[in-house]
Amino acid sequence: MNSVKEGYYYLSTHEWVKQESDTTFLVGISDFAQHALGDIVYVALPEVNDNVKQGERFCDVESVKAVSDVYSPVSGTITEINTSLEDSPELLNQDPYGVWIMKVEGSLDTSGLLDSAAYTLHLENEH
Amino acid sequence: MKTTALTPWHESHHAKMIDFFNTLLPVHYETGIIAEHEAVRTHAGIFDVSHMGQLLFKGEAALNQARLVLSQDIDAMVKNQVKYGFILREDGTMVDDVLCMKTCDDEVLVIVNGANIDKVMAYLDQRFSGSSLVENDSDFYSVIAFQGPLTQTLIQSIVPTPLDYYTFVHGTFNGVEMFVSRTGYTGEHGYELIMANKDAQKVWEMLLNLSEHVIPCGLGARDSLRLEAGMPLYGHELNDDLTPLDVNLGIFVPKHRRHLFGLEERKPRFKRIGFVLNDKAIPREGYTLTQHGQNVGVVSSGTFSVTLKRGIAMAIINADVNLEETIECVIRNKSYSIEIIKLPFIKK
Repeated sequence: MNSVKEGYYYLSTHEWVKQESDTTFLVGISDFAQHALGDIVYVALPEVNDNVKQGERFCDVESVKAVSDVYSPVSGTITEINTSLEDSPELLNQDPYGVWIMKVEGSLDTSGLLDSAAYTLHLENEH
Repeated sequence: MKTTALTPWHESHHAKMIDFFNTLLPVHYETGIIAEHEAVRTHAGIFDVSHMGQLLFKGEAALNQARLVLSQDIDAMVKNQVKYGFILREDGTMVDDVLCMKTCDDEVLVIVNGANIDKVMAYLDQRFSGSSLVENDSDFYSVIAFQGPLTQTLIQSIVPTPLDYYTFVHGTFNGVEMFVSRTGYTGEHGYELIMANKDAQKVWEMLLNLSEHVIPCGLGARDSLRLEAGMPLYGHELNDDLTPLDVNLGIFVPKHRRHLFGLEERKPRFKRIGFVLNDKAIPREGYTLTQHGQNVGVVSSGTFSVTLKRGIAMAIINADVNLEETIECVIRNKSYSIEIIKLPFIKK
């Protein structure tokens, strides 16, 4: 339960970012987030070319019970969205660290983020 | 916070627990809401609903009080019958919605919402000037709902005689004294079993062992099932300011009893509707409904329908709204046309 993946950076609101190349980043939600949401039934995806800012909402995820904001851990421009989530939102439950929501071209400021050790501690302290 | 007799079982089976109006109850197990919901629609599920309260009106004097506050005509009920209705104030507003079970000729057992037990007790106390004769047995009983198409056959190994809809039996079944009533909150064939707390785990496991197709379900699936079945929930479709007439439930207040609650002449101020969204959006409680740019109502319960694979909701709208003209639901600053559906959403 509530695994944390090494090599990823996290927001305290349970989103992750993973560096793919020097300037491209993948963004998704953590195992804790998908557990807390329960069965995910709909992802309101952002659009390619939208600008995102670290700490700001970029999409929302709906479970049977509730709707939740998802915040971006990185600033930049969206170059790709994971369209498979349109028909299979449950992929976020099944493989939270393998399934990304958006790909962002930009730069990563890790000072506002938690590394895996800090995020693990955050989960222990907060919950 | 209160627990139930089954709390240790839920926790040892990794249920996600929440504080539901001061009772610790499972929202879902590891199976998740969708699988639990589908199990009840296709096979069978069990729910711990021990937060529900049991109020006993015993003896003629207590029944006389019941006659003044219950919408149901208890004198028209036969023994072993169950009737849905309300505890009403003299102005017709709803203190709670309740099931009334006629347990004896001079006794009714009234099942109230867990969140409303204290409020109902306080209301009765005030209404009868400190001389309320009701007995609150809520801490003594556990309640397990056994719901789904398979229950019709499976129940026979516990209660061999078939039960008609909205009737119950009381007796000792497989060594446990209980009430078994053919009622439920899912829209499926099902039963609700009421037993002493000490027997709850035995009954829970008895039901689970009837078939591998019986799975434990939490409040999440209970809510999505009842919403598909178009059933109101106190605190959402019903509240202290509304009368049954305001939410299209006047049928549960017999005409000859309406004068007791000031409902003879009263006109509905609102109506309760069901709707679906044909876009990929989910209406949630509190969202606004508009017509020609004017606010005309509010969503009282909304969810993703596991069966219809769409957003569904119930809403309370002004009585004078023209349902023939487009109504929109505002979701995150965007308006979506709603399609009104005659309740229930799932017809069985």
